[in-house]
Amino acid sequence: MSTRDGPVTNPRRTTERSRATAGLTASAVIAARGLDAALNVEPGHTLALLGPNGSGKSSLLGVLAGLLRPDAGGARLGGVELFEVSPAAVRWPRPDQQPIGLLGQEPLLFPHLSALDNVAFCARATGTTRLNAREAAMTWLRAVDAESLAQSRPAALSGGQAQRVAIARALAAEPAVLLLDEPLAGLDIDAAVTVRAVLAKVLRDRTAVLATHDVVDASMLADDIAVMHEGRIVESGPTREVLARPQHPFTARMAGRGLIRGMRTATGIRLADGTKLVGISADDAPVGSDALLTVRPGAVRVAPTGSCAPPPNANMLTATVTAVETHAESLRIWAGGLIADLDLETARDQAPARGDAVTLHVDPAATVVYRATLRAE
Amino acid sequence: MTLSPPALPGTPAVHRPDSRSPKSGYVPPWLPPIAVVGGLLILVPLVAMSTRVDWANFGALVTSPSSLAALALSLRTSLAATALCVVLGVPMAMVLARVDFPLKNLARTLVLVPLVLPPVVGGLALLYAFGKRGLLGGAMNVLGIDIAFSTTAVVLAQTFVALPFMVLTLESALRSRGARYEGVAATLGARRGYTFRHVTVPLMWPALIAGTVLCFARALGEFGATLTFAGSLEGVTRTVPLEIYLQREVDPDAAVALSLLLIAIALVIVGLAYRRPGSQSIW
Repeated sequence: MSTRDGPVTNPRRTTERSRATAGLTASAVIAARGLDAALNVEPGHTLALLGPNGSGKSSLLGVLAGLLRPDAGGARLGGVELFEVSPAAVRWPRPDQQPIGLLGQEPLLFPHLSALDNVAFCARATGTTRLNAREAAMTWLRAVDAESLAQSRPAALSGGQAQRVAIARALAAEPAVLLLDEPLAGLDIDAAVTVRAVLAKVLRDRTAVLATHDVVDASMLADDIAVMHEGRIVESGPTREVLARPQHPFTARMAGRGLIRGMRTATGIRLADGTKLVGISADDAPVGSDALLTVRPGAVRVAPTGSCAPPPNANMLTATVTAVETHAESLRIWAGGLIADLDLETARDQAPARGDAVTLHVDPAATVVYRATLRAE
Repeated sequence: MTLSPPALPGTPAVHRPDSRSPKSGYVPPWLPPIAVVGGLLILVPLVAMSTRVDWANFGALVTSPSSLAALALSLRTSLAATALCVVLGVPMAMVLARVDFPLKNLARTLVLVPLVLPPVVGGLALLYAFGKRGLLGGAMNVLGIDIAFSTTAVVLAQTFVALPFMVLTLESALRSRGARYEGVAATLGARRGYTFRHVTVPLMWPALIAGTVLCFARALGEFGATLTFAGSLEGVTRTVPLEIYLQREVDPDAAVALSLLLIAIALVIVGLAYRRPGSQSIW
């Protein structure tokens, strides 16, 4: 069963349903929050706004939901204007008049209503009879596998259960665009897996914007990614492409990939200090053009101190360690734009600290070189 | 459809309070004795009064015509004042908690003034506003309304002193919870009126009950403002506190009996307002 097959339709939402696969274009400026961003969501696509806390994701979603009025901005849904705030005109409808749904990090289920009545809230608020609203709500609960929770009070639900009910409640409003603000961040790992699966199901063919700091959520749930950094979108594109071949150092950091900028050579890239690295070319950019090199941490090794002979064919470069952190069962070091993971055994013998110079061996077979489309900062 | 949610794999149990936090007894040793002294300060006068009660004639004393008239009047006016506090206080608290406007802090301070003002001063202020020669007295004379020294004046005086309790209680409840649930309701297509009735009011219900009970108690005990603004006419403006004050000279036994009745009512009210049901409230 497709979860998009809404049960009993309430009259207010019929026009919005017909727009259900419309695309969204929006822009928003809020000077006080340093937000200045524009985005475009293809019809039926999910766009992930990927960025850390404080990067402006929530503010942008707040504007789209109609809860936060921007200093300037506008949004159109399939060509129909949602709002417009500009020197020429201010059209800012109340949020209840917008066909936009919002799911937050906290489920925020109304504590005085059962799970079923929470899901039925939208229908009741827009004039559907209690019986019809509950019947429809039950269908939506079924869509998120929460049918058995119908009579539960929100206080009796676990975090994952409550979030699934909240998803059903947001879907029941049949929004033309669904906004999700870190929907998995408040959940423990097991619950997140369950809710992520539910989201993957309901987001299929639905126009949605997902704000997340987690590259796993972005990669599993989103068709496209827009990377947010300090209130701005630094790069955007199809998820696979953005994560595999990042343009912005910040994207590379979020994606957990090494990224070095340099100049294209016949076999790879030449760095500012003259070091030449060999890699696989992802495009046919001319020699001498601006280029980027990316490599996953697994293909980078920190050369043991004392030894200087690189493995045959390996790329070798010297760099200064800029950061060290623990990562899963290893020590992750950042040096010269690259990331290397040291297993604990090695880390005990030679733990590089910030500021140390290290020699890195990079596997050319895992090194990808491609065109730099953003200007260097 | 099952009533209880089945335990799903990987869903944690409902959050429990941290078991490491000390539950009882972790206070400085000198603190409980001081608390006991404070408790005695309240308890001793109450006990002292109950020793003076003429139990044999208690029934007759509290059912004398003047006592009954005072009781009936107190009940009527306090209920009316409480209703006014709900009608006026809910919008005031909502505006203070949810609407930004200039001089808001000044407005909030003004609302609290009756709380710290001596009630006699409040009564005088009301007199200069609504009395015959008051600020609004002339206009009201034209309309044929004469409020001062009437039962309406009693209700106004009681509302004046009780209203801050309602506004304070509701506003702090509204502010501590924020407007997030209302935001959710809006994105679900609920209009402002529907959201107010079906989200805001149910969520502030416990605070509304507490505020209502406090207002009723304050109205019932009102003395100074009532005496100044409404006078002391039997059956018209002489509420129980005024009756007690009057009888104190004439018939101390009647005063004590009525006082005990007020204490009993106060205990019931406080018990109602601060009752915690066996299971924690869902809010």
